[in-house]
Amino acid sequence: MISPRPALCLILQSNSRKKNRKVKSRRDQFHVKMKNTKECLLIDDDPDDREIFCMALQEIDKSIKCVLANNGSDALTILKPLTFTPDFIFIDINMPGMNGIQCLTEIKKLDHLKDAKIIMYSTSAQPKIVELTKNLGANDFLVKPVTLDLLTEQLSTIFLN
Amino acid sequence: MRKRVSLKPKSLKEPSTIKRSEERYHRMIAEVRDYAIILLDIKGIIQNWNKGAEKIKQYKEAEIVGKHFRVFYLPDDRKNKLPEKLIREALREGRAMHEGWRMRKDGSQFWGSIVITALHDEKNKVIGFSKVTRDLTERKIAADKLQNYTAELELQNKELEQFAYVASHDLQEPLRKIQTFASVIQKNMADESLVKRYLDKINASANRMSQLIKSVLNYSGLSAIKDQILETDLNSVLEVAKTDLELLIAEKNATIKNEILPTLPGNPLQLSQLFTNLIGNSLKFTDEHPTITISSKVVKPNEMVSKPEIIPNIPYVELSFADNGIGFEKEYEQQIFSIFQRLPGKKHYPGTGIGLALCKKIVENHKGFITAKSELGKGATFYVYLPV
Repeated sequence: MISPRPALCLILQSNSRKKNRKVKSRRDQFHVKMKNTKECLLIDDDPDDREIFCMALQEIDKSIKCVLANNGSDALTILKPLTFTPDFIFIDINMPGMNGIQCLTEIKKLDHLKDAKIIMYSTSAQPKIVELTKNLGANDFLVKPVTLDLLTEQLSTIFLN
Repeated sequence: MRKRVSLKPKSLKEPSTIKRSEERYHRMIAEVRDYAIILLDIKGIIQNWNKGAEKIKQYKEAEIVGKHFRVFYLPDDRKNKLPEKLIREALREGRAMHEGWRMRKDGSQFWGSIVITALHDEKNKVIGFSKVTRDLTERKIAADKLQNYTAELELQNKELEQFAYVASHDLQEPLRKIQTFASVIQKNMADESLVKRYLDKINASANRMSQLIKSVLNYSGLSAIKDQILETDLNSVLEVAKTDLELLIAEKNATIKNEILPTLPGNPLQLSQLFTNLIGNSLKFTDEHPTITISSKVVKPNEMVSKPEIIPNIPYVELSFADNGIGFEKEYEQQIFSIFQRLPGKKHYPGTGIGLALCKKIVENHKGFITAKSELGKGATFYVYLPV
Protein backbone atom coordinates (compact mmCIF):
# COMPACT_ATOMS: atom_id res chain seq x y z
CA MET A 1 0.00 0.00 0.00
CA ILE A 2 1.42 3.31 -1.00
CA SER A 3 0.43 6.69 0.43
CA PRO A 4 0.47 9.78 -1.76
CA ARG A 5 4.04 10.80 -2.18
CA PRO A 6 5.84 13.19 -4.46
CA ALA A 7 5.25 11.93 -7.96
CA LEU A 8 8.95 12.02 -8.45
CA CYS A 9 9.82 9.19 -6.05
CA LEU A 10 10.70 6.13 -8.09
CA ILE A 11 11.02 2.75 -6.44
CA LEU A 12 13.39 0.15 -7.77
CA GLN A 13 12.31 -3.41 -7.02
CA SER A 14 14.62 -6.30 -7.64
CA ASN A 15 13.52 -9.40 -9.56
CA SER A 16 10.90 -7.51 -11.50
CA ARG A 17 11.85 -6.90 -15.08
CA LYS A 18 8.49 -5.41 -15.97
CA LYS A 19 8.71 -2.72 -13.34
CA ASN A 20 12.30 -1.99 -14.20
CA ARG A 21 11.30 -1.38 -17.77
CA LYS A 22 8.71 1.17 -16.58
CA VAL A 23 11.24 2.82 -14.36
CA LYS A 24 13.78 2.90 -17.15
CA SER A 25 11.51 4.87 -19.44
CA ARG A 26 10.59 7.31 -16.70
CA ARG A 27 14.25 7.63 -15.86
CA ASP A 28 15.03 8.39 -19.48
CA GLN A 29 12.60 11.29 -19.30
CA PHE A 30 14.54 12.80 -16.46
CA HIS A 31 18.04 12.18 -17.63
CA VAL A 32 18.44 15.73 -18.81
CA LYS A 33 19.07 17.43 -15.50
CA MET A 34 17.85 20.98 -15.00
CA LYS A 35 20.21 23.17 -13.07
CA ASN A 36 17.90 24.00 -10.21
CA THR A 37 16.26 20.61 -9.66
CA LYS A 38 18.03 18.51 -7.13
CA GLU A 39 18.14 14.75 -7.43
CA CYS A 40 18.73 12.30 -4.65
CA LEU A 41 19.02 8.58 -4.13
CA LEU A 42 18.02 6.73 -0.95
CA ILE A 43 19.39 3.23 -0.44
CA ASP A 44 17.42 1.61 2.39
CA ASP A 45 16.00 -1.89 2.71
CA ASP A 46 13.20 -0.82 5.06
CA PRO A 47 9.95 0.18 3.31
CA ASP A 48 8.73 2.25 6.29
CA ASP A 49 11.94 4.26 6.37
CA ARG A 50 11.74 4.86 2.64
CA GLU A 51 8.19 6.11 2.98
CA ILE A 52 9.02 8.41 5.88
CA PHE A 53 11.95 9.82 3.96
CA CYS A 54 9.71 10.67 1.03
CA MET A 55 7.18 12.30 3.34
CA ALA A 56 9.87 14.50 4.81
CA LEU A 57 11.09 15.45 1.34
CA GLN A 58 7.57 16.38 0.39
CA GLU A 59 7.55 18.88 3.28
CA ILE A 60 10.75 20.53 2.14
CA ASP A 61 10.52 20.86 -1.60
CA LYS A 62 8.17 19.03 -3.89
CA SER A 63 10.50 19.46 -6.83
CA ILE A 64 13.29 17.33 -5.40
CA LYS A 65 13.47 14.10 -7.37
CA CYS A 66 14.14 11.07 -5.22
CA VAL A 67 14.92 7.58 -6.39
CA LEU A 68 14.60 4.78 -3.85
CA ALA A 69 16.62 1.59 -3.95
CA ASN A 70 15.95 -1.54 -1.86
CA ASN A 71 19.55 -2.57 -1.54
CA GLY A 72 23.14 -1.89 -2.54
CA SER A 73 23.26 -3.98 -5.68
CA ASP A 74 20.13 -2.40 -7.13
CA ALA A 75 21.53 1.03 -6.35
CA LEU A 76 24.78 0.24 -8.11
CA THR A 77 22.86 -1.07 -11.10
CA ILE A 78 21.35 2.32 -11.70
CA LEU A 79 24.38 4.32 -10.65
CA LYS A 80 26.91 2.63 -12.88
CA PRO A 81 25.57 3.78 -16.23
CA LEU A 82 25.97 7.53 -16.55
CA THR A 83 22.27 8.29 -16.95
CA PHE A 84 21.63 8.97 -13.29
CA THR A 85 23.88 11.30 -11.33
CA PRO A 86 22.17 12.26 -8.08
CA ASP A 87 23.36 15.28 -6.13
CA PHE A 88 22.72 13.52 -2.85
CA ILE A 89 23.03 9.85 -1.97
CA PHE A 90 21.65 8.58 1.33
CA ILE A 91 22.89 5.16 2.39
CA ASP A 92 21.34 3.12 5.20
CA ILE A 93 24.10 1.41 7.13
CA ASN A 94 22.31 -1.64 8.49
CA MET A 95 21.23 -3.59 5.45
CA PRO A 96 21.43 -7.34 5.01
CA GLY A 97 23.52 -8.55 2.10
CA MET A 98 25.66 -5.61 1.01
CA ASN A 99 25.74 -3.30 4.00
CA GLY A 100 26.00 0.49 3.86
CA ILE A 101 29.75 0.58 4.34
CA GLN A 102 30.37 -1.81 1.47
CA CYS A 103 27.93 0.20 -0.63
CA LEU A 104 29.77 3.43 0.18
CA THR A 105 33.06 1.90 -0.89
CA GLU A 106 31.59 0.79 -4.22
CA ILE A 107 29.99 4.15 -4.93
CA LYS A 108 33.25 5.97 -4.20
CA LYS A 109 34.81 4.01 -7.04
CA LEU A 110 32.46 5.61 -9.56
CA ASP A 111 34.20 8.61 -11.02
CA HIS A 112 31.12 10.35 -12.41
CA LEU A 113 29.69 10.57 -8.88
CA LYS A 114 32.65 12.27 -7.27
CA ASP A 115 30.71 15.48 -6.73
CA ALA A 116 27.73 13.78 -5.17
CA LYS A 117 27.19 14.42 -1.47
CA ILE A 118 27.04 11.09 0.31
CA ILE A 119 25.20 10.96 3.61
CA MET A 120 25.18 7.86 5.80
CA TYR A 121 21.77 7.20 7.31
CA SER A 122 21.54 5.09 10.45
CA THR A 123 19.66 4.34 13.63
CA SER A 124 22.72 4.80 15.82
CA ALA A 125 25.92 6.80 15.62
CA GLN A 126 28.76 4.76 17.02
CA PRO A 127 31.85 6.98 16.93
CA LYS A 128 33.93 4.23 15.36
CA ILE A 129 31.46 3.79 12.51
CA VAL A 130 31.09 7.55 11.96
CA GLU A 131 34.89 7.80 11.78
CA LEU A 132 35.09 4.89 9.38
CA THR A 133 32.51 6.28 6.97
CA LYS A 134 34.19 9.67 7.08
CA ASN A 135 37.50 8.06 6.17
CA LEU A 136 35.85 6.16 3.35
CA GLY A 137 34.59 9.41 1.85
CA ALA A 138 31.12 10.03 3.23
CA ASN A 139 30.27 13.72 3.51
CA ASP A 140 27.91 13.47 6.43
CA PHE A 141 26.26 11.13 8.92
CA LEU A 142 22.56 11.43 9.69
CA VAL A 143 21.00 9.58 12.62
CA LYS A 144 17.41 8.58 11.81
CA PRO A 145 15.38 10.99 13.96
CA VAL A 146 12.33 9.91 15.94
CA THR A 147 9.87 12.42 14.55
CA LEU A 148 8.99 13.49 11.05
CA ASP A 149 9.63 17.16 11.91
CA LEU A 150 13.14 16.44 13.04
CA LEU A 151 13.85 14.56 9.84
CA THR A 152 12.43 17.41 7.77
CA GLU A 153 14.65 19.84 9.66
CA GLN A 154 17.78 17.74 9.15
CA LEU A 155 17.06 17.16 5.50
CA SER A 156 16.45 20.84 4.74
CA THR A 157 19.81 21.69 6.28
CA ILE A 158 21.42 19.14 4.01
CA PHE A 159 19.59 20.13 0.83
CA LEU A 160 19.76 23.84 1.24
CA ASN A 161 23.44 24.08 2.12
CA MET B 1 105.24 -25.39 84.85
CA ARG B 2 101.88 -25.55 83.18
CA LYS B 3 99.16 -27.49 84.66
CA ARG B 4 98.21 -30.35 82.56
CA VAL B 5 94.68 -29.79 81.69
CA SER B 6 92.92 -31.93 79.29
CA LEU B 7 91.87 -29.52 76.60
CA LYS B 8 89.32 -30.62 74.19
CA PRO B 9 89.39 -28.45 71.00
CA LYS B 10 85.94 -27.05 70.41
CA SER B 11 85.60 -28.91 67.17
CA LEU B 12 86.29 -32.24 68.75
CA LYS B 13 83.62 -33.86 70.74
CA GLU B 14 83.28 -37.25 72.24
CA PRO B 15 82.53 -39.83 69.55
CA SER B 16 79.26 -40.64 71.27
CA THR B 17 78.19 -36.98 71.24
CA ILE B 18 78.99 -36.67 67.57
CA LYS B 19 77.10 -39.81 66.87
CA ARG B 20 74.10 -38.53 68.82
CA SER B 21 74.26 -35.20 67.00
CA GLU B 22 74.46 -36.86 63.62
CA GLU B 23 71.64 -39.17 64.51
CA ARG B 24 69.51 -36.22 65.47
CA TYR B 25 70.16 -34.46 62.15
CA HIS B 26 69.62 -37.66 60.29
CA ARG B 27 66.33 -38.27 61.99
CA MET B 28 65.30 -34.68 61.50
CA ILE B 29 65.61 -35.09 57.75
CA ALA B 30 64.67 -38.71 57.42
CA GLU B 31 61.30 -38.41 59.08
CA VAL B 32 60.08 -35.29 57.25
CA ARG B 33 57.26 -36.51 55.04
CA ASP B 34 56.14 -33.41 53.20
CA TYR B 35 59.44 -32.53 51.63
CA ALA B 36 61.83 -34.76 49.74
CA ILE B 37 65.23 -33.87 51.17
CA ILE B 38 68.10 -35.73 49.55
CA LEU B 39 71.81 -35.43 49.09
CA LEU B 40 73.43 -35.48 45.66
CA ASP B 41 77.10 -35.78 44.98
CA ILE B 42 78.85 -33.29 42.76
CA LYS B 43 77.82 -35.20 39.65
CA GLY B 44 74.17 -35.38 40.69
CA ILE B 45 74.13 -38.98 41.91
CA ILE B 46 71.64 -39.61 44.69
CA GLN B 47 73.40 -40.39 47.96
CA ASN B 48 70.52 -40.83 50.39
CA TRP B 49 66.75 -40.77 50.73
CA ASN B 50 64.07 -39.63 53.18
CA LYS B 51 60.45 -40.48 53.89
CA GLY B 52 59.28 -37.40 52.01
CA ALA B 53 61.20 -38.48 48.92
CA GLU B 54 59.64 -41.90 49.09
CA LYS B 55 56.17 -40.44 49.52
CA ILE B 56 56.49 -37.93 46.72
CA LYS B 57 58.49 -39.91 44.18
CA GLN B 58 57.49 -43.46 45.16
CA TYR B 59 60.98 -45.00 44.95
CA LYS B 60 62.29 -46.93 47.94
CA GLU B 61 65.77 -46.05 49.19
CA ALA B 62 67.41 -49.22 47.97
CA GLU B 63 66.24 -48.82 44.38
CA ILE B 64 67.17 -45.18 43.91
CA VAL B 65 70.39 -44.47 45.77
CA GLY B 66 73.27 -44.46 43.29
CA LYS B 67 71.13 -43.26 40.35
CA HIS B 68 71.34 -39.81 38.76
CA PHE B 69 68.57 -37.44 39.80
CA ARG B 70 67.59 -36.94 36.16
CA VAL B 71 65.29 -39.98 36.49
CA PHE B 72 62.76 -37.66 38.07
CA TYR B 73 62.58 -35.46 34.99
CA LEU B 74 60.25 -35.81 31.99
CA PRO B 75 61.80 -37.06 28.73
CA ASP B 76 61.62 -33.63 27.10
CA ASP B 77 63.30 -31.97 30.08
CA ARG B 78 65.99 -34.62 30.01
CA LYS B 79 66.52 -34.02 26.29
CA ASN B 80 66.89 -30.29 26.97
CA LYS B 81 69.36 -31.09 29.77
CA LEU B 82 67.30 -29.32 32.42
CA PRO B 83 68.77 -31.30 35.39
CA GLU B 84 72.31 -30.46 34.29
CA LYS B 85 71.39 -26.81 33.83
CA LEU B 86 70.02 -26.64 37.37
CA ILE B 87 73.18 -28.22 38.81
CA ARG B 88 75.32 -25.71 36.95
CA GLU B 89 73.19 -22.86 38.27
CA ALA B 90 73.54 -24.15 41.83
CA LEU B 91 77.29 -24.34 41.37
CA ARG B 92 77.41 -20.80 40.08
CA GLU B 93 74.87 -19.05 42.26
CA GLY B 94 74.90 -21.22 45.34
CA ARG B 95 71.42 -22.47 44.66
CA ALA B 96 68.90 -23.13 41.92
CA MET B 97 65.10 -22.98 42.20
CA HIS B 98 62.60 -24.44 39.78
CA GLU B 99 58.94 -25.43 39.44
CA GLY B 100 57.68 -27.92 36.93
CA TRP B 101 56.21 -31.31 36.14
CA ARG B 102 58.25 -34.23 37.41
CA MET B 103 57.85 -37.97 37.15
CA ARG B 104 57.14 -40.53 39.85
CA LYS B 105 58.31 -44.13 39.79
CA ASP B 106 55.05 -45.31 38.15
CA GLY B 107 55.33 -42.72 35.37
CA SER B 108 52.61 -40.46 36.76
CA GLN B 109 53.41 -36.77 37.11
CA PHE B 110 53.45 -34.30 39.94
CA TRP B 111 54.11 -30.57 40.05
CA GLY B 112 57.29 -30.09 42.03
CA SER B 113 58.82 -27.04 43.63
CA ILE B 114 62.55 -27.67 43.81
CA VAL B 115 65.54 -26.05 45.53
CA ILE B 116 69.02 -27.38 44.85
CA THR B 117 71.64 -25.95 47.21
CA ALA B 118 75.37 -26.35 46.79
CA LEU B 119 77.21 -27.74 49.83
CA HIS B 120 80.80 -26.70 50.59
CA ASP B 121 83.70 -28.05 52.60
CA GLU B 122 85.98 -25.94 54.87
CA LYS B 123 87.95 -24.87 51.83
CA ASN B 124 84.70 -23.62 50.22
CA LYS B 125 84.88 -26.25 47.54
CA VAL B 126 81.55 -27.70 46.41
CA ILE B 127 81.26 -31.22 47.59
CA GLY B 128 77.68 -31.96 46.67
CA PHE B 129 74.12 -30.68 46.66
CA SER B 130 71.08 -30.84 48.84
CA LYS B 131 67.86 -31.13 46.94
CA VAL B 132 64.55 -30.24 48.54
CA THR B 133 61.36 -31.00 46.62
CA ARG B 134 57.80 -30.15 47.52
CA ASP B 135 54.73 -31.62 45.83
CA LEU B 136 52.48 -28.70 44.81
CA THR B 137 50.29 -30.60 42.38
CA GLU B 138 47.02 -29.70 44.07
CA ARG B 139 47.90 -26.06 44.17
CA LYS B 140 48.96 -26.11 40.51
CA ILE B 141 45.73 -27.76 39.38
CA ALA B 142 43.69 -25.24 41.35
CA ALA B 143 45.67 -22.35 39.87
CA ASP B 144 45.22 -23.71 36.33
CA LYS B 145 41.49 -24.14 36.91
CA LEU B 146 41.24 -20.58 38.11
CA GLN B 147 43.11 -19.32 35.08
CA ASN B 148 40.82 -21.27 32.72
CA TYR B 149 37.76 -20.04 34.54
CA THR B 150 38.94 -16.44 34.30
CA ALA B 151 39.60 -16.80 30.59
CA GLU B 152 36.14 -18.31 30.11
CA LEU B 153 34.53 -15.47 32.05
CA GLU B 154 36.37 -12.90 29.99
CA LEU B 155 35.18 -14.52 26.79
CA GLN B 156 31.61 -14.71 28.04
CA ASN B 157 31.74 -11.11 29.09
CA LYS B 158 32.89 -10.05 25.66
CA GLU B 159 30.13 -12.10 24.02
CA LEU B 160 27.62 -10.53 26.35
CA GLU B 161 28.77 -7.04 25.45
CA GLN B 162 28.41 -7.77 21.76
CA PHE B 163 25.06 -9.37 22.34
CA ALA B 164 23.77 -6.41 24.37
CA TYR B 165 24.81 -4.05 21.63
CA VAL B 166 23.19 -6.01 18.84
CA ALA B 167 20.04 -6.64 20.87
CA SER B 168 19.55 -3.03 21.91
CA HIS B 169 20.26 -1.78 18.42
CA ASP B 170 17.74 -4.12 16.88
CA LEU B 171 15.19 -3.15 19.47
CA GLN B 172 15.72 0.52 18.83
CA GLU B 173 14.56 0.21 15.24
CA PRO B 174 10.92 -0.67 15.86
CA LEU B 175 10.81 1.76 18.76
CA ARG B 176 12.01 4.64 16.64
CA LYS B 177 9.45 3.76 14.01
CA ILE B 178 6.65 3.83 16.55
CA GLN B 179 7.69 7.33 17.56
CA THR B 180 7.94 8.45 13.96
CA PHE B 181 4.60 6.96 13.01
CA ALA B 182 3.02 8.70 16.00
CA SER B 183 4.43 12.01 14.85
CA VAL B 184 3.06 11.45 11.34
CA ILE B 185 -0.38 10.74 12.81
CA GLN B 186 -0.22 13.89 14.92
CA LYS B 187 0.37 15.95 11.81
CA ASN B 188 -2.42 14.33 9.86
CA MET B 189 -5.21 13.81 12.37
CA ALA B 190 -7.90 14.71 9.85
CA ASP B 191 -6.79 12.09 7.36
CA GLU B 192 -8.70 9.04 8.63
CA SER B 193 -7.25 6.50 6.26
CA LEU B 194 -3.70 7.64 6.98
CA VAL B 195 -4.35 7.54 10.71
CA LYS B 196 -5.70 4.01 10.42
CA ARG B 197 -2.81 2.84 8.29
CA TYR B 198 -0.22 4.28 10.63
CA LEU B 199 -1.91 2.86 13.72
CA ASP B 200 -1.65 -0.54 12.06
CA LYS B 201 2.03 0.10 11.45
CA ILE B 202 2.48 1.05 15.10
CA ASN B 203 0.88 -2.20 16.13
CA ALA B 204 3.10 -4.17 13.80
CA SER B 205 6.24 -2.52 15.19
CA ALA B 206 5.13 -3.10 18.76
CA ASN B 207 4.50 -6.76 18.01
CA ARG B 208 7.89 -7.07 16.44
CA MET B 209 9.52 -5.59 19.53
CA SER B 210 7.66 -8.03 21.68
CA GLN B 211 8.86 -10.95 19.54
CA LEU B 212 12.42 -9.70 19.62
CA ILE B 213 12.39 -9.33 23.38
CA LYS B 214 10.98 -12.80 23.85
CA SER B 215 13.59 -14.36 21.62
CA VAL B 216 16.38 -12.38 23.29
CA LEU B 217 15.22 -13.63 26.69
CA ASN B 218 15.13 -17.13 25.33
CA TYR B 219 18.63 -16.84 23.96
CA SER B 220 20.15 -15.37 27.09
CA GLY B 221 18.38 -17.94 29.23
CA LEU B 222 20.35 -20.68 27.54
CA SER B 223 22.83 -21.22 30.29
CA ALA B 224 25.66 -23.71 30.22
CA ILE B 225 24.51 -27.24 30.88
CA LYS B 226 27.25 -28.50 33.15
CA ASP B 227 24.98 -30.10 35.72
CA GLN B 228 22.05 -31.16 33.64
CA ILE B 229 23.49 -33.71 31.24
CA LEU B 230 21.63 -36.97 30.77
CA GLU B 231 21.75 -39.80 28.27
CA THR B 232 19.29 -38.38 25.76
CA ASP B 233 17.48 -40.40 23.13
CA LEU B 234 17.41 -38.18 20.06
CA ASN B 235 14.38 -40.04 18.72
CA SER B 236 12.27 -38.75 21.60
CA VAL B 237 13.77 -35.32 21.10
CA LEU B 238 12.60 -35.47 17.49
CA GLU B 239 9.12 -36.48 18.60
CA VAL B 240 8.92 -33.48 20.92
CA ALA B 241 9.95 -31.17 18.08
CA LYS B 242 7.39 -32.69 15.73
CA THR B 243 4.68 -32.21 18.31
CA ASP B 244 5.67 -28.58 18.82
CA LEU B 245 5.50 -28.00 15.08
CA GLU B 246 2.31 -30.02 14.51
CA LEU B 247 0.24 -27.15 13.19
CA LEU B 248 2.89 -25.83 10.87
CA ILE B 249 3.61 -29.32 9.52
CA ALA B 250 -0.06 -29.87 8.74
CA GLU B 251 -0.51 -26.40 7.28
CA LYS B 252 2.42 -26.80 4.92
CA ASN B 253 1.66 -30.42 4.09
CA ALA B 254 5.17 -31.32 5.07
CA THR B 255 6.94 -34.67 5.24
CA ILE B 256 9.63 -35.43 7.78
CA LYS B 257 11.78 -38.45 7.09
CA ASN B 258 14.27 -39.75 9.57
CA GLU B 259 16.57 -42.65 10.32
CA ILE B 260 16.83 -44.11 13.79
CA LEU B 261 18.80 -41.56 15.76
CA PRO B 262 21.37 -42.35 18.45
CA THR B 263 21.36 -41.69 22.17
CA LEU B 264 24.03 -39.40 23.52
CA PRO B 265 24.83 -37.30 26.58
CA GLY B 266 23.12 -33.94 26.52
CA ASN B 267 20.46 -31.63 27.83
CA PRO B 268 17.07 -32.84 26.58
CA LEU B 269 15.39 -29.45 26.84
CA GLN B 270 18.04 -27.62 24.87
CA LEU B 271 18.31 -30.39 22.29
CA SER B 272 14.57 -30.25 21.64
CA GLN B 273 14.85 -26.49 21.15
CA LEU B 274 17.63 -27.21 18.66
CA PHE B 275 15.52 -29.67 16.68
CA THR B 276 12.43 -27.44 16.80
CA ASN B 277 14.39 -24.48 15.52
CA LEU B 278 16.13 -26.31 12.69
CA ILE B 279 13.03 -28.14 11.49
CA GLY B 280 10.86 -25.05 11.97
CA ASN B 281 13.29 -23.02 9.86
CA SER B 282 13.21 -25.57 7.07
CA LEU B 283 9.42 -25.59 7.11
CA LYS B 284 9.28 -21.82 7.10
CA PHE B 285 11.65 -21.30 4.22
CA THR B 286 10.08 -23.88 1.92
CA ASP B 287 7.24 -22.63 -0.20
CA GLU B 288 5.62 -25.87 -1.29
CA HIS B 289 5.43 -29.38 0.16
CA PRO B 290 8.46 -29.24 2.40
CA THR B 291 10.37 -32.48 2.81
CA ILE B 292 12.88 -32.64 5.62
CA THR B 293 15.31 -35.51 5.91
CA ILE B 294 17.14 -36.14 9.15
CA SER B 295 19.99 -38.62 9.29
CA SER B 296 22.90 -39.41 11.52
CA LYS B 297 26.25 -41.13 11.46
CA VAL B 298 29.41 -41.23 13.51
CA VAL B 299 32.37 -39.41 12.00
CA LYS B 300 35.94 -38.52 12.77
CA PRO B 301 37.13 -34.93 12.32
CA ASN B 302 38.76 -35.70 8.98
CA GLU B 303 35.44 -36.95 7.62
CA MET B 304 33.49 -33.81 8.41
CA VAL B 305 31.79 -31.57 5.88
CA SER B 306 33.38 -28.48 7.36
CA LYS B 307 34.80 -27.90 10.76
CA PRO B 308 36.44 -25.26 12.93
CA GLU B 309 40.21 -25.21 12.93
CA ILE B 310 40.92 -26.75 16.27
CA ILE B 311 38.83 -29.63 17.51
CA PRO B 312 39.74 -32.66 19.59
CA ASN B 313 40.39 -35.77 17.56
CA ILE B 314 37.46 -37.71 18.94
CA PRO B 315 34.46 -39.24 17.18
CA TYR B 316 31.36 -37.09 16.77
CA VAL B 317 27.78 -37.85 15.85
CA GLU B 318 26.91 -35.97 12.67
CA LEU B 319 23.21 -35.09 12.47
CA SER B 320 22.12 -33.71 9.13
CA PHE B 321 18.90 -31.80 8.52
CA ALA B 322 18.25 -31.46 4.79
CA ASP B 323 15.38 -29.56 3.22
CA ASN B 324 14.08 -28.69 -0.23
CA GLY B 325 13.47 -25.03 0.54
CA ILE B 326 14.59 -21.75 -0.97
CA GLY B 327 18.18 -22.19 0.16
CA PHE B 328 20.64 -19.33 0.40
CA GLU B 329 23.81 -18.12 -1.28
CA LYS B 330 26.94 -20.05 -0.41
CA GLU B 331 28.69 -16.88 0.73
CA TYR B 332 26.32 -16.55 3.70
CA GLU B 333 27.06 -20.02 5.09
CA GLN B 334 28.77 -18.56 8.15
CA GLN B 335 26.85 -15.31 8.51
CA ILE B 336 23.48 -16.97 9.02
CA PHE B 337 24.45 -18.08 12.51
CA SER B 338 25.02 -14.50 13.69
CA ILE B 339 22.37 -13.14 15.96
CA PHE B 340 19.63 -11.13 14.29
CA GLN B 341 21.19 -11.73 10.91
CA ARG B 342 18.62 -11.95 8.20
CA LEU B 343 19.55 -12.47 4.61
CA PRO B 344 18.44 -10.14 1.80
CA GLY B 345 15.12 -10.96 0.21
CA LYS B 346 13.96 -12.94 3.20
CA LYS B 347 12.14 -10.13 4.95
CA HIS B 348 8.72 -11.37 3.97
CA TYR B 349 9.31 -14.65 5.77
CA PRO B 350 8.40 -14.35 9.46
CA GLY B 351 11.03 -14.53 12.16
CA THR B 352 13.41 -12.59 14.33
CA GLY B 353 16.70 -13.80 12.92
CA ILE B 354 17.67 -15.38 16.21
CA GLY B 355 16.79 -19.05 15.58
CA LEU B 356 20.11 -20.12 14.12
CA ALA B 357 22.12 -18.16 16.69
CA LEU B 358 20.14 -20.07 19.30
CA CYS B 359 20.99 -23.37 17.59
CA LYS B 360 24.65 -22.43 17.55
CA LYS B 361 24.62 -21.61 21.24
CA ILE B 362 22.91 -24.87 22.14
CA VAL B 363 25.36 -26.91 20.09
CA GLU B 364 28.30 -25.08 21.64
CA ASN B 365 26.88 -25.72 25.10
CA HIS B 366 27.22 -29.40 24.19
CA LYS B 367 30.83 -28.86 23.09
CA GLY B 368 29.87 -29.45 19.48
CA PHE B 369 29.50 -27.23 16.45
CA ILE B 370 27.10 -26.52 13.59
CA THR B 371 27.65 -25.77 9.91
CA ALA B 372 25.46 -25.25 6.89
CA LYS B 373 25.66 -25.98 3.19
CA SER B 374 23.35 -24.44 0.66
CA GLU B 375 22.82 -22.94 -2.76
CA LEU B 376 20.16 -20.41 -3.66
CA GLY B 377 17.02 -22.21 -4.80
CA LYS B 378 18.42 -25.66 -4.04
CA GLY B 379 17.51 -26.21 -0.41
CA ALA B 380 19.80 -26.26 2.59
CA THR B 381 21.46 -28.85 4.80
CA PHE B 382 22.48 -28.19 8.37
CA TYR B 383 25.13 -30.38 9.99
CA VAL B 384 25.16 -30.64 13.77
CA TYR B 385 28.22 -32.29 15.31
CA LEU B 386 27.99 -33.51 18.90
CA PRO B 387 30.66 -35.42 20.82
CA VAL B 388 29.65 -39.03 21.25
